[in-house]
Amino acid sequence: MKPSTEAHGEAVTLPPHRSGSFASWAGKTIVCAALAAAGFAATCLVTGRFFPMRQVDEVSTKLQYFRAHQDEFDTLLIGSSHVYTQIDPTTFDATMSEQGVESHSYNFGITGLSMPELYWLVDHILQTPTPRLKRVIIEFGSDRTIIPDLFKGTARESYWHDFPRTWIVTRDLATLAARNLRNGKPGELPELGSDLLEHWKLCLSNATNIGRVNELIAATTRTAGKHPVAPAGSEPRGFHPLPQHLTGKTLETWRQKLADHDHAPHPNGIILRSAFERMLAQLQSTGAQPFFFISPNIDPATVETIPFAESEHLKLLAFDSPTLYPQLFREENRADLPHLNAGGAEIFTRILATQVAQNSPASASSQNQFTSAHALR
Amino acid sequence: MLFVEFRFFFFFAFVFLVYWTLRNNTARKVFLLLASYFFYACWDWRFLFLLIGSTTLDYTIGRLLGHMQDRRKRQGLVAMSLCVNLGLLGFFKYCNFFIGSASTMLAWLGIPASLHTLHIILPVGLSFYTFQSMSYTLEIYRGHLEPVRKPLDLAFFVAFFPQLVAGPIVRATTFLPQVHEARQLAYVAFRPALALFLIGFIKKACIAENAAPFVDQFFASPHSYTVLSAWIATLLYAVQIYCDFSGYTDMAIACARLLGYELTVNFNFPYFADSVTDFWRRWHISLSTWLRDYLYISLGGNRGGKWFTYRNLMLTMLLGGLWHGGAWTFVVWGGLHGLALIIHREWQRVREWIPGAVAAMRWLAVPITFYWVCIAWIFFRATNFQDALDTVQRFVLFHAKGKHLLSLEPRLLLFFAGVAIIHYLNFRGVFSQWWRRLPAPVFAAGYGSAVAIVLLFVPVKYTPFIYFQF
Repeated sequence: MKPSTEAHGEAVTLPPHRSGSFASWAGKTIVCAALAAAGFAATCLVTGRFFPMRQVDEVSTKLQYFRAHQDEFDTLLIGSSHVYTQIDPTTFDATMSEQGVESHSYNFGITGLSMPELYWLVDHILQTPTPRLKRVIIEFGSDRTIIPDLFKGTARESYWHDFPRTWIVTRDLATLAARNLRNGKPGELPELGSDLLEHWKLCLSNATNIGRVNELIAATTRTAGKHPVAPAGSEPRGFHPLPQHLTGKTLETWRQKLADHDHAPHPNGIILRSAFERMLAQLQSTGAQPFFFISPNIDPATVETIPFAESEHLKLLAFDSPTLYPQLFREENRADLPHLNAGGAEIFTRILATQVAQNSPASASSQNQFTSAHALR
Repeated sequence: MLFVEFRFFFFFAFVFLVYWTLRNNTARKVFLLLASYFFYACWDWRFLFLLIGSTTLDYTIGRLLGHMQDRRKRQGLVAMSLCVNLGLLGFFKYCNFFIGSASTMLAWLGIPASLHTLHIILPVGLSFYTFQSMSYTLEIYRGHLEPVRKPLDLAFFVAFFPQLVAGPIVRATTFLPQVHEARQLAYVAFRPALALFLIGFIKKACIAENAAPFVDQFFASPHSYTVLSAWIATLLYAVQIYCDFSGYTDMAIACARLLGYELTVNFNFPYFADSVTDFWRRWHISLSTWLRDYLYISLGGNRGGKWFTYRNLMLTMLLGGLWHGGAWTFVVWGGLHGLALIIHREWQRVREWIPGAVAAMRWLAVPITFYWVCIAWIFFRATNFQDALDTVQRFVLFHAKGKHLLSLEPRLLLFFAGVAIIHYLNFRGVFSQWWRRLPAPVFAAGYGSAVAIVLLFVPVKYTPFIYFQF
């Protein structure tokens, strides 16, 4: 056989001028483009079915653990690092028991959890039957739709971007854009636009399974390594207390913030209303009782949160007041500005468990039902 | 903006649609020129002025050369073009190299000197468009080309985005005749262009990018690795640099073809070369022919004695090595190739006298050439001489004190072996024709599926093309 040249090494030969009208040529081109798109989409769909869920630090570990032990737990604590580092399931269960409510809880806190990601997580947790599930306690504060820099370029930023979730983000961002336009704030539109583009890029990247084979190979290579490191999220019952205390400049900043605290609600980002409503409906369909709480932080972003909670009649436990909960704001109980340390976590867990127990149907004091966030302050 | 990025597909789709919608050739060229400047500005808009400045100078010199008959003045003009273009290259690319080398030399001679290097950013693609621009004035000077009348034509030739940042180094004589007439969509061979783009994408995104982490891992500390690791890393680097650069070229040629333009061929299965002379007919062809025509021949070529020819060969290859960057490792890389070219010339002279040599070389020529090319690649890749020598010690002398083994998944080795077999079959012409005979709808659906499969092997994050730094 005669050796060929590389494809680009061929002599330049012009093809014969195509015959027929432009309309006929354009029609054929459109058909071919549609067929190429169909071939692409079909192959993506078929190949996507062969891959397991992406390995995402914390998320995969906790999901796998929960699925393996789903019959053991009746209480789930879900949220960001404010759950991951501040709620100890053992203390929570003991306090609930003291209040006359039995529970066996699991900490599903994930560092940097965003709102649509929370929706994805709840969706996937509830995919497996959880007959014992009685209550789900969710941190109410993740109004973030922008992906933190920490997760850029990792599976963590993209894994939850399926079409339903991305569509919800799109709708909510569009709602916000319309509201900004109505309020005469068009300056925020470019930021919203780039945020939206980023979400769709990640969604497309997910749907087209980009790099899935590479990821699997990399995961195998990591597993074969000689020094395996315990993955984040593999702690007993998912709790990871922070040992440190406030020191130096952080301590000064904390004191300043506490002194400047004005009790006024602070502006926050976007409440993904549709995502939230769907998640709520999903939770209610399982029969589990949903609770929401605001983490003990100075000036949490609540200007939108509280009215939204009121309009949805959510059970909202707010721990953001240094006046009502001074022990949660003491220097010795803080690890850094947004988080409690191990000692603070112990106190917070007890307070949270007491309030949950008092509002649980099994409790004698369950008549203390509330309809507004402010009622709990 | 890389050819393998999402945003490039949107950029190119927009350029393609607007370009073919425009009816007037000048409007098309203006549009493509603006798109090319935008493409370049995506890296660093400040260097756009350098590109425009270089183009303006060569246009002016070209016009003056066209009107001037006096030989001395013509020589002066072309010298000015060379000085400015090479001066820019020298400043941006070699300033720190010469300062560093002078400092080392003075220290070696015992003369205390405190020479500070400058913080210079190398404009992307400078070496490529400078060479293209110089080819324009040199061809006019030699009487092979008429100067262009419209500055637009020259600016378009220099800045045409598919080849702007990493070649191929297109000659003015090849490209400028194409800009005078409007390209016709009906003459665009879509199927080969799309196939070529996909091949280039596979080479860069699936092969080069997957080889890169292991190569980087090894060359970060070659002294701590075993002989086997050195072999794997060197062979993978040979694969990486070929797939990275030829992948870029494939995509560049395909994009140009989709816009109706033909660029210069740059690769032709270089690792199947049976001598280093043959290798340079197959590797970075646009650079090797540029160096041959404008440097080797200008130095006198082979129009003198044997030693005169060998001197010219060695000088050309040393400067060719230096073209890749300001580092002595590049010079050694060029020197190794120059040495191999000289040895090959000598071999051609003496082989008839050695019984069985021709028959043996029929089998050994390709592996020996590839082995020599790989040794040269070690110097090309290593960040310093010590690392290069450590690797050569392992690759050539099979001697190593290091104990580490590259953490390479055996399945990846199978993947690379499969790729090598496909490449060989392609060299034998197995894939050259059958896909062209498929009905258009079948080809379209197959193409879509192939793209979806290729994406599975693509890394989430890309490293820039290796040749962007040159």
